[in-house]
Amino acid sequence: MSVAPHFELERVFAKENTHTGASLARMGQGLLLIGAIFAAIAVVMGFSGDVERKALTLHALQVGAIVALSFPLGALGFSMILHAVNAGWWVLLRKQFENVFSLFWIGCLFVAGVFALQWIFTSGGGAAAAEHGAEAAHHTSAYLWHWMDPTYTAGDHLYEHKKVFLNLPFFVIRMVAYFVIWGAMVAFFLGQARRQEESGDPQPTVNMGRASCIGLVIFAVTTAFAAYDWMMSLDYHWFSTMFTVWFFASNVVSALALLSLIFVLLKTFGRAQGAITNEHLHDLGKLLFGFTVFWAYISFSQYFLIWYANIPEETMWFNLRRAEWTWLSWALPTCHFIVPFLLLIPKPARRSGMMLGFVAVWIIVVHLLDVFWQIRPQLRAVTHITIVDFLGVLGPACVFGGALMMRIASRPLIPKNDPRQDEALTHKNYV
Amino acid sequence: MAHHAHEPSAPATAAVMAVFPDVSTVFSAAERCRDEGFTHWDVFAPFPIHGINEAMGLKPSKVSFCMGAGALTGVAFALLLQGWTAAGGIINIPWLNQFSGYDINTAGKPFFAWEQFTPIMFELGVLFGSFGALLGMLMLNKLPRHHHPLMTNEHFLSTSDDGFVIAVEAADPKFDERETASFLKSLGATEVEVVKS
Repeated sequence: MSVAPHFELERVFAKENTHTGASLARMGQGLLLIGAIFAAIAVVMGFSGDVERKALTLHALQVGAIVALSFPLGALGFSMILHAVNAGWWVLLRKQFENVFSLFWIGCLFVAGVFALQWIFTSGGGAAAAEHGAEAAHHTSAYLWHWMDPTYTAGDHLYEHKKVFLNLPFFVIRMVAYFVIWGAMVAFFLGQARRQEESGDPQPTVNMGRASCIGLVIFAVTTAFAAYDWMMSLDYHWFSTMFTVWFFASNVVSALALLSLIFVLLKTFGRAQGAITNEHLHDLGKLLFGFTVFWAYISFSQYFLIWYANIPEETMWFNLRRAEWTWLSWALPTCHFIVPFLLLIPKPARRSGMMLGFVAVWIIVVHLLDVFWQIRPQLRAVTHITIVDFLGVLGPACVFGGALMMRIASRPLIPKNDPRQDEALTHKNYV
Repeated sequence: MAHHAHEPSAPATAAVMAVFPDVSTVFSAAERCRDEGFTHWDVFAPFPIHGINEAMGLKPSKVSFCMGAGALTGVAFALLLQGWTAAGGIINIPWLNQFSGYDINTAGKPFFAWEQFTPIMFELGVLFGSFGALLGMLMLNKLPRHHHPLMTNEHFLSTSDDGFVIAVEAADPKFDERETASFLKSLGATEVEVVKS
């Protein structure tokens, strides 16, 4: 028998229950400032350093940019799935998903910034650097995207074939297109949500469900090509059909971890009481568990097929990582799969704020390492973590985190007037 | 009650059974039985009742441990099986090496390659895990069982249609034929019956 709804709507939607303290906004400003300083120091170190340092800065900032982008993309994609399947349990959590994906532009700006920085690094001293750059076996140059380096691609037969796609104008057009398309999608969902909050009209819920079905297709295509452009093309000889699925899995698992952390913290500080219960945490825990397994499944599938087929142009990507970043190559399957898998197996762990919060933080940290492992080994000259990596990765990540805290602090924590609000309030797991 | 089964004379009391008219009555009755401290009792209904586990005070099922043990057995078995068949030659321990298997060269891969073992380890983990769940379920439910005194009871048959039944078995330490019957009656039962074995 279902439990009678003994909640009181007025108490759930009371101002002190649906707003955070002002200190969160200040902490957010602080974190944003720290992130901006980190990123700025990384850029300055790039300008003042040699070619190797310049390349290091670009690689590190690109890792940070992709991390800052992965949370919003994961939240946007997963929200659309939940809209499309008409999920009722989730509607009171929706606001935080919206907060996360509304900040997609931070990661995009950082990617554009890295692209611009590469332009600056290579347009002036680029030619000179390339001349005496030939001495190194690893061909160090201040490029992140080596296919943009004419001295690198000169005489490369494979590049001639891929030039139709991998050329500078088309790359810039695509970059702008992703930004515009994601921006339009985010603006649509935020606009519909605002309309519902203001008017109480149930129609936006229907609109968002319908739009999500088409939006998911557009999302799949755009994120796939963004992953090709911003991650896979760093080694443009390499290709993997699993890569975009990995990108999706990693985005969703990181977004779910971040959102679990947000809800655990809100509960810990006594906010959104009655609206976000252990039942919702339990569901988030189940999803986090599921997508952790999905991430492992996809990552292993990608590795396994390439390992089995043993075609040189595919295996070199893994060879590089296994040979030069051995510790990280073993740490990822252990820490991104085995540890959270075992920790989230017991049901009490998925319902307890402490344990779920711990696993969420754990996954966010390991997600950073995962993105690092994808991008950073491409710079073969430096095979250990340096201060520039630290600053370049944490800079964009902290800017995103700070902006997110400010956004959460600036609006109500739960949406009003959702037609399925009762379903969410009385939601219960029976398993 | 089982030890009385082979004595032909004087059928012993097996349980007290109460029929309840609807879900809410049987649900609150279950909560009262839980609070009363009964241990050998059960609720029977034509369909699953959400939240009845908490109302009965049931502890989390131990089936998951059987399943976990089965899954680990499967993973270990798959690892040993493949290690023995594909990389048996690497076992070079005195006496044990008489059981060594084969060295199978697959496309020049290492004999003992965890990569190619993983899918089989996963599959056997799932297979043995489900065996563990099935066997554990049967064991914990003390199944298969051919007969139970309730099964021939006329009123009990309604639980496959529209009846809701709580039966307290005579094996329960708190069981008292008359007191338990009147207790169940006081919880709103429409019918209370002493079931003989």
